[in-house]
Amino acid sequence: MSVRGRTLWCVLVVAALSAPPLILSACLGEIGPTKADLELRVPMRDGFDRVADALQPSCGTLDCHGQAQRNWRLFGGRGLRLASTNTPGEGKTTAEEYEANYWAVVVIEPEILSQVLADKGSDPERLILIRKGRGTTRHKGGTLMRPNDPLDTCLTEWLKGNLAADSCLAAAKITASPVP
Amino acid sequence: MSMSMSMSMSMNGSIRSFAYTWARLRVACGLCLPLLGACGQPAFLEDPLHKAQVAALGPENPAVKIGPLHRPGQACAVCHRVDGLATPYVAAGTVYRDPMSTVGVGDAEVVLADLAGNRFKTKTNCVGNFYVKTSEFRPVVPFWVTVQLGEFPYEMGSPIHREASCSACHSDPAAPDAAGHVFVTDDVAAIASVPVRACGAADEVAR
Repeated sequence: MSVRGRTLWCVLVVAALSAPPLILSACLGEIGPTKADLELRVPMRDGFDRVADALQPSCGTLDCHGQAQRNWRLFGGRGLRLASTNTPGEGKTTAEEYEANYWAVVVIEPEILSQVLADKGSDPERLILIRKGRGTTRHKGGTLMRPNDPLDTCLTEWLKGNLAADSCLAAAKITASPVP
Repeated sequence: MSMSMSMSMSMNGSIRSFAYTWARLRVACGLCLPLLGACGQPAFLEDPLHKAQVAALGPENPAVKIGPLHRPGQACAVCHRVDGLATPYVAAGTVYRDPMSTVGVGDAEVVLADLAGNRFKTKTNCVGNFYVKTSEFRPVVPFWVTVQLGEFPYEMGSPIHREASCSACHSDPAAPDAAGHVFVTDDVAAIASVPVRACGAADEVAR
């Protein structure tokens, strides 16, 4: 066999041996999601207690999402209680209630939430939580927040990975306006 | 010529259509109006869930005339709602002397204060009932309620967004989803000093 023939033969053998793994890896990449694709992002748990406190008076009262009959339920010291031994208005929100509220928020739309978090909180109205609160989707409870008000800032900053503690505190302390 | 004919036909059609609709309405009304259901609503308009709520209230106490003194402690807005036939209320309920008993207290001042700073004051009658009609006060929600009887204040821990019946949230017994009835004091030593008065003719008169 000539040198040229042997070279051609070697190239063909190498190509034949390396093609299947290359094709296989390329196909796997096309067909199945990677591990990273399957892992949904969740918002920060640290500081969420402040966010939950902000949600309590606007969303978690006993006549709204503090009702046991509601699909989306929030628990809290001044609303629906998680432990059978606790009653509304008695004691503070417990650690278990904060944890339940965190997951209640996360599991509404986990995939969209993950995308919003990946985009660093941009376009938060992709989330029904924000649309309902802002009243841009039909909400029996009406409009409860507007962009840049305390509750809205508390929530949207949390989605950006920040804790707007002052806004959350202000939303948690919503009170009647003083007599003019 | 053809235009006037077309108009005439159209008018005749409209008249016939109106007459047919009117006849159907008369038949429908004749059949259904006698069948008044819960809260005086025609039975065919009733929501089965609402019907169940009304049934849960039970019958009227025959010893009490329907009016401001009836059904203390019950969910007023089951009937007193905008789409009901009873006068709609923004808020209504019963104020009791203490958390243990169901002794209603009269003349307790009930103040509704809304997000916009509007306020409305009323007082409880001899059985502890109070009500605020939608024609009297349209709060910008949420709104807060305080009850004050002499030196005894009761402030709600959270605002009201849409429930008009106090007892919807303040039902007995207190539980994880129920705050227990509204009372003026839980100080055992002070309970005896809370004034409780007998009913007079004025208590039976609705505003």
